[in-house]
Amino acid sequence: MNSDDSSTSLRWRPSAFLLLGASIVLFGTGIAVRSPVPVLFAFPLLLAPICAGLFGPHASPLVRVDGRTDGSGRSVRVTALLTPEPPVRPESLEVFFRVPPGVVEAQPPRTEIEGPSLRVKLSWTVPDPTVMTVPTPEVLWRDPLGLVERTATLENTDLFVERYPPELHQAGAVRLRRTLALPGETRSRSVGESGEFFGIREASPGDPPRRINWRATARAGRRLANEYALDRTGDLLILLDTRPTALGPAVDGRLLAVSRGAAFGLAEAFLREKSRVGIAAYGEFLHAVPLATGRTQRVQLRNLLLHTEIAEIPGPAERCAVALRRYYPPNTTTVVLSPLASEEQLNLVSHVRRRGFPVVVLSPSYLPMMGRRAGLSEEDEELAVRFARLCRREEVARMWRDAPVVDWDDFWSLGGFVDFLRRPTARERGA
Amino acid sequence: MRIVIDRRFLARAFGPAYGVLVIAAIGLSLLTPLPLVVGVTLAVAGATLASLLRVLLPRRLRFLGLFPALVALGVFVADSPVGTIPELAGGVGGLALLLWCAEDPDRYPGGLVRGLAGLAVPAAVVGIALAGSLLLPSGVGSLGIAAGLLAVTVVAVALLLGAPRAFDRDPSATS
Repeated sequence: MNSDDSSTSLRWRPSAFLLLGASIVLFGTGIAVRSPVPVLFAFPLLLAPICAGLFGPHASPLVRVDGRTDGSGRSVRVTALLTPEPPVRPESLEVFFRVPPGVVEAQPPRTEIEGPSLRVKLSWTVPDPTVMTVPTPEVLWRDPLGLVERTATLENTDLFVERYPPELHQAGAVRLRRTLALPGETRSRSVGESGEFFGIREASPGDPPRRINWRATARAGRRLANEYALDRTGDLLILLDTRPTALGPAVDGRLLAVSRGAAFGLAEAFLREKSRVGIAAYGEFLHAVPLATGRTQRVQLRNLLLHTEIAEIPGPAERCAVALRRYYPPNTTTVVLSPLASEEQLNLVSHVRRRGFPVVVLSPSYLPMMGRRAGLSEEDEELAVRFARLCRREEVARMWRDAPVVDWDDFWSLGGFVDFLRRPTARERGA
Repeated sequence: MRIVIDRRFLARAFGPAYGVLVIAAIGLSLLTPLPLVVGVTLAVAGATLASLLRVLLPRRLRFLGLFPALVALGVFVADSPVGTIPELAGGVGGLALLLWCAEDPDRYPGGLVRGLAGLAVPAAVVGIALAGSLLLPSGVGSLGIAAGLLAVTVVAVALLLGAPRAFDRDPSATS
């Protein structure tokens, strides 16, 4: 709720000043030509801004904003319902939504009156996966003639846009390494279809016969089914490398946005399966959310991702690996999200692995983001692209010595990565 | 080359208030000693150019659309003879211009109805001034009264422009 006094006081719009200036000129003209006609013409022009100020709200009007975000894939639809406190009418509100950086406006905003509320519909397109907050709109009250305005005080909750490749929904089924000694002690807080016996409940029509507790049913005379406490499958750490590279702030920022989207998608998939998930972002220092599960953890992870930016100074890889051990137990399955665009970023994986974290690298490729180089002919451009591809392949190949790497260049698909995660390990294969 | 005019653009630029402004401007032009063709052309051109500018200019500069309409109407009122009908037409012209201001293309449609509510007080004051001038002997007497009222209003507006918080009212402790 914003209630800054200076920004919410009455403001005169440029047209009010123009009308005032014109009426003074007309007043002078009336005197000069000794005619009351210009004076009477100027009268309403002078009075209108004063009346607008006097008869409008005497303080910043309170407006409740209820919103939601819909759409799938690249398409984002934001719907906001603005309800002003009476006597302010919804048609006297002006709403301005700022389009977040990197987002394209697919259609101009549409507004419609719905009873005492104003409904605003926005249609955006996000070019890459991302997690971001919808900026708080600027809401102004304007008088009917549009001569004065006041900024409204908003009662709103944050809206989020969460877009990631759909394949990540299946990632949660992957068996993760446990970090606790006894599997029986890693019980989930939720009940489900398998695990340790938890209790008995009324059977529902969809329950299979195996879940029906027949003895209890016979005793009670009605169908009862068993419930089980779900076991967690394990723990997951997602590490984002947010150190700056030679690619420049624009490309670094876009790669970070893509990594954010993937990190959130992965976290959500595993949290859904009641696994413990932690996220760490390493720029100059480590910012970490320790392992936990549940809805609160989802919010904490999202907040960390939303506040993660590209660091100004790159920290050494060793510092990250040492700091990780303070927050996370060894043997936690670790997904490193790094573009692998600098020597420091290439070194990070080996340091993390040496500290006891089994690592899988998901590397968003910078190649799709490289713009056409100025001054190069068609042939030279093609050659440069081939060189860049070769360099990238060489970097990825080098990384494979330390950890498996998935080169991610189609940002709306992570099928390859999920298949890779679901592949049985050497021990599971019996090797 | 075929020129296609977007209907939505036309609807945004030329709403009902544009029609009211054109009629008021033409009415004023007929009272002036200007030739009919010149007067009507100036009236229509001023209102049309104002409406077009308001749609075509960037959002921050749209208030400049007022200029052509103000200039056209200003020429007519400055050129009008002294009399009850021209005075009434002058007042109506000012109200029509305000109504046109209410029909901002960036705002929710229905500016004409919305604007009528905002015009109630200025229209009442113009009516009182006109009625007052009718009761006075013709000549410059009404001009003196109108000029006095206008001077007081100018001072009040100047003071209020410098202190916009004068319109604020703190909520009471028990509300």
